[in-house]
Amino acid sequence: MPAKRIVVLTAEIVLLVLVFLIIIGPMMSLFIWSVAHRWYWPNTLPQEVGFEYWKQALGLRTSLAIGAISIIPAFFLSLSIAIVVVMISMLIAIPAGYALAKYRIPFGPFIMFLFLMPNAFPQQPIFVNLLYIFTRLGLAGTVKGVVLVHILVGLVFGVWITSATFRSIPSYLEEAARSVGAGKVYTFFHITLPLAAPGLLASSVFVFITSLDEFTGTFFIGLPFVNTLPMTLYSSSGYNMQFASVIAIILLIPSILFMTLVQRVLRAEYVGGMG
Amino acid sequence: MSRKKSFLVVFMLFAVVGFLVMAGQKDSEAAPVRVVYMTAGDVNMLALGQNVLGPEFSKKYPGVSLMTVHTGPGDAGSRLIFEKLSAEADSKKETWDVDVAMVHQMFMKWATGKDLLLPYAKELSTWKYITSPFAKSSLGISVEGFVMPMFHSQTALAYNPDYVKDPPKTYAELVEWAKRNPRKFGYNGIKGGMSGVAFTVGWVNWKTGKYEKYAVTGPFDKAEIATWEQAYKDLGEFNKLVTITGGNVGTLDALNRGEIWMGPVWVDMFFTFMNEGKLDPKTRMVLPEPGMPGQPMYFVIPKKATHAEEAKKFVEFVTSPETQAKEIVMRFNWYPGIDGSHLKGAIPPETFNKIYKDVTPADLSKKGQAFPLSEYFAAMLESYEKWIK
Amino acid sequence: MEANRTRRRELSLPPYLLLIFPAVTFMFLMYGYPFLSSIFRSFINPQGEFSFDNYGKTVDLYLKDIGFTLAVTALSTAVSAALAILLAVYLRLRQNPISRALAALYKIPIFIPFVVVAQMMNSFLAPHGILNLALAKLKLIDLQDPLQLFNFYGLTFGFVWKMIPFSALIIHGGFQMIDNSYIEAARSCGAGLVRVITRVLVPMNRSSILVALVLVYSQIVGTFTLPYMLIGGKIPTTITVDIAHRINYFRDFGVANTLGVFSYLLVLITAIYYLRSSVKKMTGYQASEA
Repeated sequence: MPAKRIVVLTAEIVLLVLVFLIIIGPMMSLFIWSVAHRWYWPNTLPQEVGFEYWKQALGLRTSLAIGAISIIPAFFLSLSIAIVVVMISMLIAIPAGYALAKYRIPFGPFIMFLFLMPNAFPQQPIFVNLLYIFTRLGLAGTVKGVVLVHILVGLVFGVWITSATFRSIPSYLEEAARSVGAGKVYTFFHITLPLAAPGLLASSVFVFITSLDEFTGTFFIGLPFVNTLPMTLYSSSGYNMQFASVIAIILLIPSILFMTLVQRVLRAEYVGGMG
Repeated sequence: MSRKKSFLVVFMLFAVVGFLVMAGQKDSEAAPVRVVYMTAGDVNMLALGQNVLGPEFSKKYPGVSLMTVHTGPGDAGSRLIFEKLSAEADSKKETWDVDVAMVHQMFMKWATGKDLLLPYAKELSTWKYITSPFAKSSLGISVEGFVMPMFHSQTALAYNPDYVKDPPKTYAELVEWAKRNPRKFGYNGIKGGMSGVAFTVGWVNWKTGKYEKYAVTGPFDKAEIATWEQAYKDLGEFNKLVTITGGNVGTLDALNRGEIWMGPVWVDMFFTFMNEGKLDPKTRMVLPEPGMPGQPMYFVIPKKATHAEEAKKFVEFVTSPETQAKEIVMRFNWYPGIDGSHLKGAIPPETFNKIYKDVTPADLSKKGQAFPLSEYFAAMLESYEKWIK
Repeated sequence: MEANRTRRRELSLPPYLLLIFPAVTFMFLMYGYPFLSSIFRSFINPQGEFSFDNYGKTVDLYLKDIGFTLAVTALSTAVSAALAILLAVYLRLRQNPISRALAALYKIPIFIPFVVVAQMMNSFLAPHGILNLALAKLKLIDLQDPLQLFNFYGLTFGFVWKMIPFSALIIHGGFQMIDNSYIEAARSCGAGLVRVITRVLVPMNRSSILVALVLVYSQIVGTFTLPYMLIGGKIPTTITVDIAHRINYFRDFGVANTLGVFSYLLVLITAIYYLRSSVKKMTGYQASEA
């Protein structure tokens, strides 16, 4: 093996180890806290470990001693809201992204910026105002209201990423199809969409995660009847590290599953598309 | 293509299930009378409500269930409850979502003049057990009849006895200690947690000596603010000797990790952390002279609560001597909201000794201060920002 | 022929109007009114009159914090973008077991909400936290004088930790659309790695990189939980922490909204840059059509 190859390979391995440490390092505290029963200075590791907090969180046991509650209902609620949010958001984001990419819309860049605003402007003052409006409309404390809020904050990922995706599809491909007689709609569904699939799916993953993790708006609008997982997390964050860590780990699971599912399909599509 | 289609089918299935679950959520609202209880404070309040108070309450009053909702720790939690009630008042709804709430003192200041609350307290059978002035006045505002204290909390300095052999008994001694042990005292300034705010207020009370005027008698005199300049400059100097933590939990965490050896804490958080294995059992507390503030948490009932009668029964239940003794004092090691003398006999001596070991009832009555009148309070917070850069 | 097609597209208003109508209307309805109300409130002083009092107070008390927020955001965005591009380039150009492992690994922080990242960083970066304990075990530092990371540096680390995977995912997605033939063509012309990056990969992927930059920047400006847990009450702190403080202790929506306006202006800076280059690209696109 030529020397250069060895150097490059070693460099890659070093990079992998470094990235591993940087990513897993902070996460270690999460894992350790989720099983810590007693942990205080000067021990580097907990004095006492166990799955007590996990059992409480999963509703397998109820006791008051540790301030933890069952999170199963909140978990399923968060999940279902996220799925509905993704569906509705992508339904309105994909056409918008396509239009913004392919057409020269007056104030186009301004419209793009419009979607950015809920994330750019600090959320607390805005959501307080929204609470008042929603209460008047009878939407406060309802699932409908929370879904609307999630779409509000997730739409930026829907529109921006899809529009960037569509923009990078060279237009000559579409025009080639059109020049052999394909209609606009047919071209879109059989040429543009498959090519854009990776970007569109990435976009929906982000909307999903945003909804699953959304806290501030849900907090203001959802109380008292809508309780999502991030709200339970916020309740215990800082105060109850163990419980918070358990919730955090549980929050990871649907997102990672969603992502893997999407990647599986992606790979198949890619192979199919290239072939 | 077929894999894509199957993925789509799975996705649709998911969505259908999702819709069903969400629809199911709505149906569960049509239960027997459901009292909506919104509480600020620690997450223990959520567990307390869901696992203990709820079932016990339902046992006593069959057909009534309790739904506990937690709005977050600190004044931010009370803030949210206020915004919620305010929005409902604004919308002119006939009946409001929240039936009973547990809030901090600051809430009462925001709620005055807004006609949000029901004057229910004197109707309860447990009203006679309340003797503390906190039930009648909050930050200088008269709240008599609108609140029932659920429990009382006090701030004090927690310290690690291994490293602090001779804990300071006064603020002045603390300053000397900090000079000898730089960076080993920690508090969170005035942002991020009330323990730091309490420490600052105690500092101002110490330096000016005018606690009575600022917290009890008043009146609010704008000219007083200018006299605090030196006190804050001294505090700025003191800050150079200490560690600034992120908040209430930040201070406790730093103590836990041995980064600091002393810091102001809320007594109830202190015991909770210890019970949950996050604080070394040998940690102790001291209440320095001339004193540090404490505050109760109040039960309030919104004016147009849907289930006001059941809400009153609930508050009566939690403020009864049995519940106060069993849950508040014995389970959580908190100071009761009702007069402690009514609980004598109900609390075993070990618990009594544990809670009152470092901060005795005598300490509490002598050095347990109230937070200042709301205008002074706001001025103290702003002065910190103004004079300490 | 081409010119006709272009003109036809410009004149045919209905198609794109219909396409963007739902999304845009939704934003105006849901966000427009609360947002304008916020800006309006920033001009109302505690007495209820229209004035600039709030702005004066904000500048007096919080100018340092505004500067701090700008510095952290700009640095975090720049570092995240640079490292993300490098990471994306690596993943684009190498296909072996190591790069596949890296591809799976780097995505993890994306799934961790900021609230949890705040928790983790609090425990990891503390003076006696996991990082310092590990470094002490390796004898690299002394535990009596550990790395102090509850400040600008720790905050930047937290942001970068969360944002590099996010940017890398978007930028890598863009790179994947660049056909291998372009890279091979460049290589065969004798271009080295650096040239390939700067002359082929980055320019062809402008839109994705720009999207990543702006999204990262605005997310950082609006984040509350991470600065709150790491820095909290210290001075200086970020705008979001100050806003929470103003609302929670004083119910001072005037100053809170004013701080919000400043934050909005901070984002506007990047946005203007993005919008300008977008418009340029649009006109360039049209030109190449004709």
